[in-house]
Amino acid sequence: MFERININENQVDKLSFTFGGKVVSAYQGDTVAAALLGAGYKCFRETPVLGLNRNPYCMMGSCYDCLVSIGGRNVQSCMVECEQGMVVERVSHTKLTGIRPHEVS
Amino acid sequence: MKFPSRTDIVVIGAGPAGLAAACAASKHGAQVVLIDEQATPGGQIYRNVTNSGPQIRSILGDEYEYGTGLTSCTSRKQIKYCPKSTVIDIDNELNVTISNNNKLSQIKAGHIIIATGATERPVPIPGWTLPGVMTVGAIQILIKSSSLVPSEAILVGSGPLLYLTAVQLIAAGKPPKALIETQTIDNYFSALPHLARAVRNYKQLSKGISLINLIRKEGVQRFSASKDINILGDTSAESITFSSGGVKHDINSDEIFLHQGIIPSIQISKLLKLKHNWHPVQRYFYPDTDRYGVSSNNAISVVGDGGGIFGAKSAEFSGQISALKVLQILGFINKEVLEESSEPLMIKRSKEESSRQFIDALYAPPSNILNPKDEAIVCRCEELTAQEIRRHIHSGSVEVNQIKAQSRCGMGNCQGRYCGTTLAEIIANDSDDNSGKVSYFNIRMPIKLVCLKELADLSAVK
Repeated sequence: MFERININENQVDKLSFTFGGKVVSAYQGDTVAAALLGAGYKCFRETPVLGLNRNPYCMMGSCYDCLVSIGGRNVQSCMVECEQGMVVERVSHTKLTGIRPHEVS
Repeated sequence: MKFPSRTDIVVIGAGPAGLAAACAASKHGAQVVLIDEQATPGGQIYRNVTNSGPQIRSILGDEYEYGTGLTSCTSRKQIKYCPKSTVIDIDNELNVTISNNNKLSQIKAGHIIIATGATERPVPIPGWTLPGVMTVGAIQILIKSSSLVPSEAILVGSGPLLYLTAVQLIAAGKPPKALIETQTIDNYFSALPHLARAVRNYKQLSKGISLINLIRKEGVQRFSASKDINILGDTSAESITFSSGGVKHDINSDEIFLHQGIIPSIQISKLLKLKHNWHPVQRYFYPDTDRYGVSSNNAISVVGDGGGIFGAKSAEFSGQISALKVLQILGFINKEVLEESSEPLMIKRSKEESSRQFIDALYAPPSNILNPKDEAIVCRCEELTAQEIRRHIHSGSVEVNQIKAQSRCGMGNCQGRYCGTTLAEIIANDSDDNSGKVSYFNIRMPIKLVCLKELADLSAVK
């Protein structure tokens, strides 16, 4: 569990947004990924090949594991700052039930 | 953001190397565009330093606070600092395509300085894709930008960042639950011959020793020469198993952080088809440069950790040296000024780098991590296991791009950033001829995900 330490020292404003319809609170300057981790989320998305739960890995814009959908776009949640009222959704995908396209005979 | 259509120098990356390069270049009249993906300058090492308060600074230490001075040059009028901007392509005519706020722009550069730094080495152990497993660098980022700390972290791997992070967590009042270290007695023996030279940078060595002492004093549980590491869990991480000193261990944890050192981020240098070399001890590819940072293409320089891992201080000197050389290439200063100004910087850089061979050998990545178990996922995006990769190798494929085409390894969203080196290592280990076949993925534009509409809009403008 991630915990906030001493958030008031910078007098950071609180804000809220929704993820999958549920309200998440965050602080000004948080990335969406940081806010979701801070709120204890353990499934940012399901993977397209095996349909398994996936969370952020690198937090620096390299791994793409933190993908979410904002305004109809798939974006790296670790690279987007939270905004009040933002609507964030899990990335939708077509489940391939563990079969890779080139393995379909 | 409005980007200029042309400029003397484009610097990519606003970490220590890029900031130092932009700052030095702008002092002799050149127009500089400094492009960075993040919202604030500093790179990952000095991330968010301009906004951090006194308590966070005291947790992170003096070396973090030092970054404040470096970031101040972003306000110089000769530097157009462009945050939240991602380079997606550079063509042969030095046109740099940048994505900012869902729109693409192009800048034609007189010279390009690549300062894109490093990423953490992939650690392909079974279970590393489970939620709850992140990199040690991710802790750094969460502390720096959001004051978030894991309450009972388990840190796994080796390297200076492991100890630094452990000490910072102790300072934050959340000491790690355990350190599962992977370096072996062999690492110490291979590092020993480099100790005499490393003493030139005694400051760094004594800092390392003091970090380890602080961890000991706190009583954090440490396991040495750990191997056979597995992370277990159904839908997220629940426990970690490993053996250390001939004893099997099983620790419950849903907060596991992996680290096996950092490796240059070579996506742009590979896109530009620059010549690369292989680092045999730290096992990474790095662009070939001269001592000024000029690459195999004399209109492109590479500075900082993106050109080989030497740390933040060295990166700063590299940035300054490179900027001077670029100013000379572009005619802003003459050769005498270049030599006079760069020589003292080279001496400082050499002192700074004198401990590197020692550190490289001491924290060389273990072969059992580089060459993963069959069940471990290699490609996180396409969810391919080492077993599937080996099946392709055993049926005759011995080249990374061939295996990419056959298996989709490296074709996912991250474009091979977290499987490229692992695939190369597996091929080197498993193929009959491992002498000269190991290479890296062919990197093509766009090097980061971009909407087709943005690409279409850009070509409509052209």
